[in-house]
Amino acid sequence: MILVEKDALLRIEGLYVSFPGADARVTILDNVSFEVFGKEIVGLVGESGSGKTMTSLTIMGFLPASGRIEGGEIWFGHDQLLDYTEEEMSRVRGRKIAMIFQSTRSALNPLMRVGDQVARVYRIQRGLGAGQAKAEAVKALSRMGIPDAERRAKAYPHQLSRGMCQRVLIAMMVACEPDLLIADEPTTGLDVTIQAQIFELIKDLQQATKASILLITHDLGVVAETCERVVVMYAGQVMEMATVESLFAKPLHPYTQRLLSSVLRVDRTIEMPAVDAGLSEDVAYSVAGCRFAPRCPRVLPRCWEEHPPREQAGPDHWVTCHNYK
Amino acid sequence: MTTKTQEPLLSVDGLVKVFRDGAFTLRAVNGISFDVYPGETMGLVGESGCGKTTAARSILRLTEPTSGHVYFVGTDLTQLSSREMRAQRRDLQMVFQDPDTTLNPRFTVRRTLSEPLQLHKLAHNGSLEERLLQTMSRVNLGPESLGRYPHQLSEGQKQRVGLARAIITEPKFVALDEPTSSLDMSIRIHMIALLQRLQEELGMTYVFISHDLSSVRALCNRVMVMYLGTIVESGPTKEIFDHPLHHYTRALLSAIPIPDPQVRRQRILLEGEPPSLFDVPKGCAFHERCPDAQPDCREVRPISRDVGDGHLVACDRF
Repeated sequence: MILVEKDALLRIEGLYVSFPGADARVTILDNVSFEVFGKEIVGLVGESGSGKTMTSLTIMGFLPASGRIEGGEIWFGHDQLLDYTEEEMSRVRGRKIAMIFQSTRSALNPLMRVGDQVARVYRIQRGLGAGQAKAEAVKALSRMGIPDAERRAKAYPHQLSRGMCQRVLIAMMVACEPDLLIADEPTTGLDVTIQAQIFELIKDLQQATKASILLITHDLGVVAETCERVVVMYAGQVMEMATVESLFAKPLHPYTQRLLSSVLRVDRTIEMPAVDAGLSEDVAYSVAGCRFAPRCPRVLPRCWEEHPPREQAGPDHWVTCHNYK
Repeated sequence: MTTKTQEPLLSVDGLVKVFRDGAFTLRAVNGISFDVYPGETMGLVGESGCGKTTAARSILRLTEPTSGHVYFVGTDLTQLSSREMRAQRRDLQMVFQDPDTTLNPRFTVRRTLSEPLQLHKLAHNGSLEERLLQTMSRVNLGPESLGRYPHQLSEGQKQRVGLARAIITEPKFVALDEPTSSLDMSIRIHMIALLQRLQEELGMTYVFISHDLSSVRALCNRVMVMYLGTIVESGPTKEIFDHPLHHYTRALLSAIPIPDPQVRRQRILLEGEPPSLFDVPKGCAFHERCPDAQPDCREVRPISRDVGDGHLVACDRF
């Protein structure tokens, strides 16, 4: 694919997705727009229910059957993915966009040796013969930092630790040589020392392959250390989008400000807030305007009714708020 | 805060828990000793499988310890009959990690919270309702939740029902097992603030078990770092976090990403993964992954020593 300078690799434009709710359909992605450019790592950050996983599933064409795309566009280079048939999508998946899922073990075939699973990718995606694919698979596993790769290639997933299984999955994704890798909480359930190893590996691979990575996470520490740009989501809406430096130095959206001020840190003791009387996590999907309005300290009357436009607030800093100034 | 002139509330001495299944022997807790003083919060940190949950369960005899002693205000809990132990449970409670498996799905919140009061005969003459409402408000749950079942509650609400169940008997000691790990970041800080407030109100002493070190830093006075069933380092929280001495503690702390792009640290990447508890190495349990292991470390298990101000480290090589 040939990309014009500053052309986005992935451009999501006004995406709306709904699911059946108790009474009516609930819009769980509400006018989502953001871009991923070439050779960058973008963090998609948000808490439970923010819609970050649903966004990635929609990009991949894996939206559950009850979900419905109500509007919007997903551009991958010059292709509109939402117009693709399932057959066309299956050619995009793997080869152009690959995804690493949250639950590692269930993403691997429990009845197949891990080396064969990696080799299969080389045969199908790269058209290698069986012997050559197998040799490539062992090499790939070794590059993922799996010691004694030749022997481990013969293991079944249950014989490997979760950290090792995640390395196997990453090896499979790298074998596809995708332009875009979507990693959805790739270290969930892994210990921090293993998490650190996996993120080092992902960063190294990004450098080596020049792929772009969309990293979905709730961990602002991971964002600060791994990503170049960040998209902040809340209740299905994009609240803010900026470079990591700009966002952490000068968060503009009241939600981002609250999120950053509530982050506990291991390197210093922070001031504790007064106990929040509500402590409620119910997310306001029913608000027509900005969904943070019910909790926003700077809410204006129109915030409840009108969805704020995306405004440029700095060189690479965008905010969706009526009252950020 | 604590002063060491006080008597400890809880004193653990050489606690061991070994699980045996046929030919397999798993040493989950391999001889740990520590004191917890009244009103303090002791953190117990380590990665999955290091034995921290088993240690807490053994202290409370929810799992019978294999050997060692646990003194609670002078009484050796390990020597009590189950009837005597049951009487102590009013003062020794635990908040479990996963509310989905530790709250009865067929009990309403009201029934879950009433049970400990009835068991310990703490509610009579209509004081039950008052006690329930008081406890609900203590954990920031509305009275309307009393009639609800666990599946009707959010993750944070379920976690707080588990907390309410533990504090409703107004215990002296509570072991908190990962009470913040399943919560979103912005909720987590409020859970910590809530735990602090309850501690002040009720004068409780906590052992806080977590792999989330930033929560530990926010809540604990002192902290113990566990690796493969042993405590490798312990001391005042700030001292351990700012001046870790054991190579494992250093690597563990350096692995945690800091939510600040201006902070760039040297990350110590550990080789490999923790060995299995079925096969704990001889000598120092950490020597296979230690960047500074010496021949001695493979043979001799290092003895914990005090390097000043109650900072203990089980390593001869820092």
